[in-house]
Amino acid sequence: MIEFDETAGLQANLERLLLAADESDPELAPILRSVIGDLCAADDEGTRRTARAKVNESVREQLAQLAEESSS
Amino acid sequence: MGRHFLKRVRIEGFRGINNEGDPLELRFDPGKVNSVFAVNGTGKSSIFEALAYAIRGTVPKLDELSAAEKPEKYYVNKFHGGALATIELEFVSDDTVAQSTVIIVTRDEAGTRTVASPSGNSDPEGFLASLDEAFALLDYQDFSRFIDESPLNRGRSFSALLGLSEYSDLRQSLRSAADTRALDTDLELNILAVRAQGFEQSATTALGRLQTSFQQLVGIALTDLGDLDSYAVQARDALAGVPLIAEKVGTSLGETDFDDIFASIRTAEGGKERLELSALIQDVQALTALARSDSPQLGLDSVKTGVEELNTLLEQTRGGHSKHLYDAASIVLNSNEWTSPDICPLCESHLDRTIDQIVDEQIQRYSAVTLKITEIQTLWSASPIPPWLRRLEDSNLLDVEDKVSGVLSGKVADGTLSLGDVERAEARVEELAKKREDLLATKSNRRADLEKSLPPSLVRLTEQVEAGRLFNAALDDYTTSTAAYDTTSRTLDLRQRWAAFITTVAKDFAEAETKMTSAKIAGISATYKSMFENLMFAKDIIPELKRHDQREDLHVHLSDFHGLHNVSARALLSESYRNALAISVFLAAALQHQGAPRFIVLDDVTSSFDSGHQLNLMELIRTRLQYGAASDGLQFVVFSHDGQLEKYFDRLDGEGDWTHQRLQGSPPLGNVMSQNQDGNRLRKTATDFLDAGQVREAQPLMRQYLEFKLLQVIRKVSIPVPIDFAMKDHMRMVSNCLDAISSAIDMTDKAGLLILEAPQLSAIRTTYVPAIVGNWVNHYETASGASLSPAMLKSVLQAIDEFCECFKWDEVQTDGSTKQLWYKSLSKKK
Repeated sequence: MIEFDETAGLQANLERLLLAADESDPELAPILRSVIGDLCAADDEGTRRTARAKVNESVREQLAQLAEESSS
Repeated sequence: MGRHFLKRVRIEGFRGINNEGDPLELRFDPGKVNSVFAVNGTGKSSIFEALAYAIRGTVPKLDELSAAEKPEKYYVNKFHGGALATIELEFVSDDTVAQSTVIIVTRDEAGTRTVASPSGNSDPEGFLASLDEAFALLDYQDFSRFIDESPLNRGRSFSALLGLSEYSDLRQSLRSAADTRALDTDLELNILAVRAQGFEQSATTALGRLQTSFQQLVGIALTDLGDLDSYAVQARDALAGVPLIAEKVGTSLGETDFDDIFASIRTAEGGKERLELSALIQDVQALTALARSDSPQLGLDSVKTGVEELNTLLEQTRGGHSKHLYDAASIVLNSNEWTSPDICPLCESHLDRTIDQIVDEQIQRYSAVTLKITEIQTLWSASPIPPWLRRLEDSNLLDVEDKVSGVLSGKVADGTLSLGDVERAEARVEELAKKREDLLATKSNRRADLEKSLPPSLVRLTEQVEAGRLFNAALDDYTTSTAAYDTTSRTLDLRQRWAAFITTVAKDFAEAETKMTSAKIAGISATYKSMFENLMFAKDIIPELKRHDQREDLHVHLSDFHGLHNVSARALLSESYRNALAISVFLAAALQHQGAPRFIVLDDVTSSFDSGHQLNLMELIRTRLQYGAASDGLQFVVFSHDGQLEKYFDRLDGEGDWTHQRLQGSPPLGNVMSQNQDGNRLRKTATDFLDAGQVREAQPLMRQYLEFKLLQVIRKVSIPVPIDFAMKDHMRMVSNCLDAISSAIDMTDKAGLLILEAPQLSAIRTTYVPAIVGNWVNHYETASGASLSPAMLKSVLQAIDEFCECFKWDEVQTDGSTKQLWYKSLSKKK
């Protein structure tokens, strides 16, 4: 379980989250890092729906690329 | 990096404040409580809104207007000749007090906002954004909403108050990204699983055919699936070893023309029965190939379930015409033509939810139908039944006249497939499968009879060639199915891995956020409880905030309520207690907050309090919370329209930890001025007229200035006035004030209680009062103003200023300096 430092700010705590994610799955963590900005930018239901669709589309593309790289 | 105090605000042309060419200016002292009083309609709310617009870029009251009311037209004062709103703010850092940051925000009638910094801040908009913390600008509604909101909304707004709104937003975004249904839909997890299962079954079936045909052809078992190439070579070689057909076998089975080989066999054998046998073998092969090539478990059940779910979803919609209605409504709402969110645009009745929510919800239902249709199409495509039905119907051997597969495919494509259609497909498949089995049995029996009656050698050869052809086709099927299964499974595995990964990330983030927020709440617990007790004298009511372990909900309950435990705060507390609790929580959170603003502006936050509780709050701020009283305190700016509270403000004004200003004026057409600003302005303008010899123009300003100064003495020194004081002839207000002050001095002197020093008393009686009466009252109030001269009136201005100084005394400070204070009354220094 990760712990946030309340004096450190969101960016620093996000870095903790991403490092923990990297330890958990080094192949998928870079994908999370690439979409976290879109998730951070959403601040209401509407923007959140749009961000989710955009993020999942990007995730599909990056997973496809990952599958291609691992099979070649 | 330092935090910032609010030092000054200048406003012109914004909302109710016109002040064209003469901006309203309010100065605030970081080390004091800054109170501002204004009776209703004198621009107080416009100042609060100006601060909100400068820092947050919005005015909440205007945000709530409908687009039809054109809220963007109401930022700039309607009577300002330049049609330009200007808000100038000056901030001073708490670590470099000498250096201040000046930001000027403007807005024109077209809605263009500009932000500049004459003091040289390189990112003035970013600087203002850094000050946009929830606690910096608070009004009554912020407090009243806090208790009445749902636990979830309360939790989210409280996160903002703690400076954790970004965490709350990201927590929600991660939860949305990890939503199971959304992942299933966006990543097609279920569809991929069905496809992978279909490919796996096809490969299994093909493998069975492969093993059978290889055994028939070569006479040994096919066991090692990793060496299929070798088996293919063995199969080809087995056929090539037969002299009669050796020349016609290609370099591989894939390059072999089996029809040509069969023709050669027929030629070699001759005879009607041989031709019939050959035809029968082909028919048997064709009928065998028509057998279902996958697992019998893979039927149309998933399609049926999908159609049933589609029917349920369709029942939740209101039909095609309503869809047009909601689409049209959505266009209207998105174009901002209808901006009364709580009113139906058709019947104009009031709604219990916003029209956006209702339309969005309805459109979501139609979207769900579209998604389900797509899902059914995919399930139909992934199912082995539809292609099998088509193959059965297209077979010449089964001789089908009334074909349904094409019709059903059309229905699938246009989303009109019904449960009856699916059952029709199942029935037709069952019927044709039975017909195929019967025909296969008939033809197989006939073939067996013929094979018995014909020479065995070529029969065996024919079977071998047929096995070769079957092996070749099965090898193709197996290879294709296996490759498709591998690709699909790999995609599915990766996507499922992502789903598990993002779910874990969202969970980890939520747990860490909950822990951090709970720690922050625990950190302010003692403070808000103590404030609440002090505000309401409520020792036997103990409020408690608790964050939900799993969700963002923030619950407010009473751990003690006159001996009752863990009861609802919302249900039991009166409005004033609820607001006191909210104020305590907000102020405790604000004290702990380390964000950029080190000021807190409160606009009419005591509306639900009686006088006693208002004073409790102000004393709490003055003695415990303000920067001057506590090293970790905040600068407070308090706006109020409460007359009782103003007496308290007035009493504290200038007493070291408090500074008070009063607004007066005639918005939105005329100017709004703070009392001090107004007095100085009056004196300067009157002096300018007198310097220019314009006595007549100076007279009304002189009168206003004299009244302002005399009323200031009456208020500050608590001079008693007659009950009809304010109702007397306004032309005689100066002499009324002088009479009241002189009478009070005489009476206190006779009682032996007068605190004024002898020189002060003497100057008042022998110099200033006679000068003001002789040079002003006797002329102006008797309407013989023609005899007034500029020099005489200037001496009156000097006399009134010095008159006021007689009511002050010098207090020696700890550092040896002196500070001038008003006498508390004629009989008390302080």
